[in-house]
Amino acid sequence: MNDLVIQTRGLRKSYDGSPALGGIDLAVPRGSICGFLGRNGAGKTTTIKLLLKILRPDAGEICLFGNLIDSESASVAARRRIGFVTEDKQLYPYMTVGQTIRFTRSFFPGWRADLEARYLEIFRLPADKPVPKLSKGMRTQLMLLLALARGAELLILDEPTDGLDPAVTEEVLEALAGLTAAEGTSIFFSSHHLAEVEQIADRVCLIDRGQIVIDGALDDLKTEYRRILLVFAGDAPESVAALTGVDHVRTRGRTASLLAHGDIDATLDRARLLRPESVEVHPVTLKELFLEHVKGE
Amino acid sequence: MLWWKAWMETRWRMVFLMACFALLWAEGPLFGVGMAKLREAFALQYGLVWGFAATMLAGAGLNSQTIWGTSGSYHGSMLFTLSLPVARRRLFAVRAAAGAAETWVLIVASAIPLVRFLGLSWSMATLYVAGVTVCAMSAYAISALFACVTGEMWQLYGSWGALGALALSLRYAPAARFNPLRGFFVSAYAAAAPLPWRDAWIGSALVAAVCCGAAVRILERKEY
Repeated sequence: MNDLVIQTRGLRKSYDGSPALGGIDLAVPRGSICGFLGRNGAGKTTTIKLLLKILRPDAGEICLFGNLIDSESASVAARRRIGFVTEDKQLYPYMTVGQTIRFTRSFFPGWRADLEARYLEIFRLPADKPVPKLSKGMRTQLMLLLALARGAELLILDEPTDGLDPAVTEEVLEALAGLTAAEGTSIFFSSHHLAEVEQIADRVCLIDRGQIVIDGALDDLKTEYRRILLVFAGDAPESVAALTGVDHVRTRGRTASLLAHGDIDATLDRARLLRPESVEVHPVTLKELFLEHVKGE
Repeated sequence: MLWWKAWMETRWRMVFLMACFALLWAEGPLFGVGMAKLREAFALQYGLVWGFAATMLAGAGLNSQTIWGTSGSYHGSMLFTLSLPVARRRLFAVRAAAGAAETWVLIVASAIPLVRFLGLSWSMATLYVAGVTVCAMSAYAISALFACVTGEMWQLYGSWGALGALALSLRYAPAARFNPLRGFFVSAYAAAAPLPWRDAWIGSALVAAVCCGAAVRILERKEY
């Protein structure tokens, strides 16, 4: 329990009767970088808002740093240890960059002046520039600076590289990975950019229609899952869909493409009983896993 | 820094409201209004502008952060505010206290030339300013309550509507005795016989307490 910075049990949330989260169980270990993937409207932002008590759950429990978040005071204590980047990257339009930094710094006694100076330089943010005059990319950089420099133990980032050019995206990803390596900071970030998730995440959590469909270490997932291609003499039999150990099946004419996980050898043995002409086994990418799970139903 | 943030959110409103009071004083030279007429006009106009000032300076620290770039009745920076390690009750308290202090400063600053112009005694002037301050707090609290449930523009429309309803209810005695708006107008003090403002003060304190209590409850439960 104490090794988890985020843990939820049976977390449910609905809006006007429409379920947004259908009882999710999340577990993010301390010191990990967890990519939170899902389509638009899958429940990513709702989950993040629930973690920060911006929304209240209909049911379920949230534990942050091993402490149950069941009151405003528990949430305030947890938020002292959390850095957050919002999805729309909006900050106070009546402040300058410098004023925004000074304002945020006042809430975090462990503010890291060295990190502030470093990211001001990396991101080339002018301290006297008013926030409304910043581009979306610069606003994102400023929010990242505010999240990184506060000395947080956990960063919750909602689409952190949205609006950044490739060079700055690379700098940000390096900064995030470096922070975890150097300080042991845990990171929970949502993203649509699967390549970024593959680049820095060591865990992946995939949410679809308010349900967690994949949750695990990225390396384990890549080892556990395989794409099996079966080519038959005639049309692929319908019984291929009933194979045990197969998550998703796509058939097209003579070909059946299976996404299998678990004991791949046993699944192959069962597949061979269907007498395919050829059998091929391929590793899967995160993109394939994502697409199969969100488009597969 | 929350106090500073509150000041940043309201400073231009303060400037605007000071300009409104300056405009009242410009009536005489600009439109050739005589002293007697001006004295009569100020008795009403000051009350109206004070009520207007109280509603403009009120806020609950979240919905009323800014009017710029607002979507779905709130600005995206609200999520940043809510992610800070600050309880919502404190966000409300600081923003409300800062706005209330600004309202008081504005009332005192604008009342000084008025009481001199009207020739009120110091004791009457003190009573008058104190009475206006207490009564302004009811308008302020109504506006702060609206700020918890609506965006910035509807906060103003809603609170002016509520004040309009209070103004209409002035016609209906005996509840009119407790109407906070009575405390805004100098004629109520000038014609004091005896202490007609006390009931208005009680009414104002009640309205302020109910509105602030409701605002805190709403803010603590509201989802964004």
